[in-house]
Amino acid sequence: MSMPAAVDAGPRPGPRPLPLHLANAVTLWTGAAAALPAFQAGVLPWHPSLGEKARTLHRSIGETGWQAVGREVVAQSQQRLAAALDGIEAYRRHPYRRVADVPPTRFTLGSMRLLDHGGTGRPTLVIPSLVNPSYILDLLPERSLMRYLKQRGLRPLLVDWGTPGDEERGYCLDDYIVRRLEPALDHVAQLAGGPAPVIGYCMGGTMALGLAARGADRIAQLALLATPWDFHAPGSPMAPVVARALDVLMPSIDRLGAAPVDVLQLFFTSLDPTLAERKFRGFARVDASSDQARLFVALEDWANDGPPLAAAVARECLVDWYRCNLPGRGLWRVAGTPVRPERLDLPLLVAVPGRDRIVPPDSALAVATACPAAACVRPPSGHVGMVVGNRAASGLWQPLADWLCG
Amino acid sequence: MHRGPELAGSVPAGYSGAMGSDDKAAVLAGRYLDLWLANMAAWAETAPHMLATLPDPAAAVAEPPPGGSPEDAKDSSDVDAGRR
Repeated sequence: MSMPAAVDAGPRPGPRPLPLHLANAVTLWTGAAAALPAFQAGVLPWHPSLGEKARTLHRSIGETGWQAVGREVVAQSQQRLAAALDGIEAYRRHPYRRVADVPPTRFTLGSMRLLDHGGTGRPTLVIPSLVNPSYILDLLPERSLMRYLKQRGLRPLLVDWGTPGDEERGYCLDDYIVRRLEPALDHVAQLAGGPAPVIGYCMGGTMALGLAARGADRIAQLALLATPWDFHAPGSPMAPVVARALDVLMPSIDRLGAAPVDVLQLFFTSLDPTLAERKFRGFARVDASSDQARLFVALEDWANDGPPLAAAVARECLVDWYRCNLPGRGLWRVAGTPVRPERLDLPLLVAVPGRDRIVPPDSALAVATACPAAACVRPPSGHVGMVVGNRAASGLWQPLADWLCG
Repeated sequence: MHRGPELAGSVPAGYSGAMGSDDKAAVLAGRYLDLWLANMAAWAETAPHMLATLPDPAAAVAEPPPGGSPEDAKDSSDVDAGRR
C-alpha cells in the first residue's frame, strides 16, 4: 500500500487545545523575565534538585551585573517565545496531510470498522485505544506495525473505533467489549478457522483483557502493548491528578455527553506542561521538507485527531480505573465477569516500554507479575515511540512478530 | 521561520574566556532561562508524586460499585497487599 501525495487544506486548528499551548508558551517566557528580580532577591522557589546550580548562577550574575543580564533575559525570552510561536505556526501550516490508503473494511458494526490489512497469514485482531485514532499502528508506510506484521506472515485486522454515533455515545466499557469487540473477535476467529491471536495497545489492551475474560476459548494468543492495569502502581502520577480533578470535570463531560479530545489533551499536557513548548520550539529549527518534519507532523496530527470519548466510558476510565483502580485490585468486571489476568489460560506477551510516561511501566508490568508464565518485552522507548519510533522495529515489532509466529 | 539561533544553545555554558561583558551577560541570561525551564519541568514532575502522598478527601465517596463475590473480595485483599 502507498500513501498518496499530500495536499494543502489550510492551517490546522491545533495543537489542541490551541489556547492552552499558546498561553503556556507566553506564560513561560514572560514569567521568566518577570521573575528575574525575585531570583536576584533570593526568593524564587527553585526545585531542590536545581538549588546548587541556581546558587552558582546567582553568584555569576552578581559578578557580571544584574542589569546587563536582565536586558539579555528580556531579549532572549522574546527570541524563545517567538521560536515557540513559529514552531506552532510551522506545524499548523505544514503541507503534509494524511490521505491514507485505508485498507478494505472487513466488518462494520455501528461506528466501528474492522480494517483488513490483508495477506494470507493468520488473521489477527488488533485493538487500539478508544482515545486517539487507530492509525498510530499504520502511521506512515515506513512506520507501520500493521504492514510489518503482514510482511511477517500475519493478517492484521485493525479495529477502527470511528467517531461515536448516537448509539455509542451512550455506551459504557461493557458495551464496547460485549457489543463491539466480541462480534469482531467472532468474525476474526471464523476467518481463522479457530482461535485467533489478539493484540491490544494501551487502553485497547485493557479492553482485550476484558474480552479474554469472557471468551478466552476464541483467543489463541494475547499480546498487551503498554497496557495499563495497576493504576495505583508506583510512578503513576496521573492517578492523584485525576482524582483531584474529577469532581470538577465530570459534570461538564456529562453535559457534553462525551469528553472531547481537547479535554483529554489536558490530561496528557498535565504530565509534562513544558513539553509542548520545547517540542514546537525545536520544530521551528527543523527543515520543513525533511522526513523528520513529516514524522513530527504525522504524529501531532494523530495526537490531536482523537474522537470524543463517550461520557460513561470517560467516567469509568477516570473513576473505576484511575481513582479506584478496580483492575489492579482485581475488582473490575465486564458485564458481570471478573477480569483477572491470573485466571487466563492462554499464551500471553506483555510489552512494557521503559520510558513510558503515559502508562508507567509498573502499571503495565502488573499483568506480567500476575501471570508469571507471560513473556515480557521491554522496548527502550516511550509509549508512542514504542510503536512508531526509530527503535520500534527492533524494540517491539520484531519480538512481537517472533512471539506470534513462534 | 526561526528568528535566529538561541544564545543558550550556541555558547558553552561554562565558557568565559575572551568574552566581553555583553557576551557574558548573554551567556548568563541563557543559563538563567534554561534553569527556569528546568525548574518548571522539575516541579511539574514532582507535584503529582507529592500529591500522591496526601490523603484524597474525595476518595471516601468513590468506593467501587457493588457486585464482587466474597471470593473476589478475598482475592482482592491479596492483590491490595503492599499498595497504598
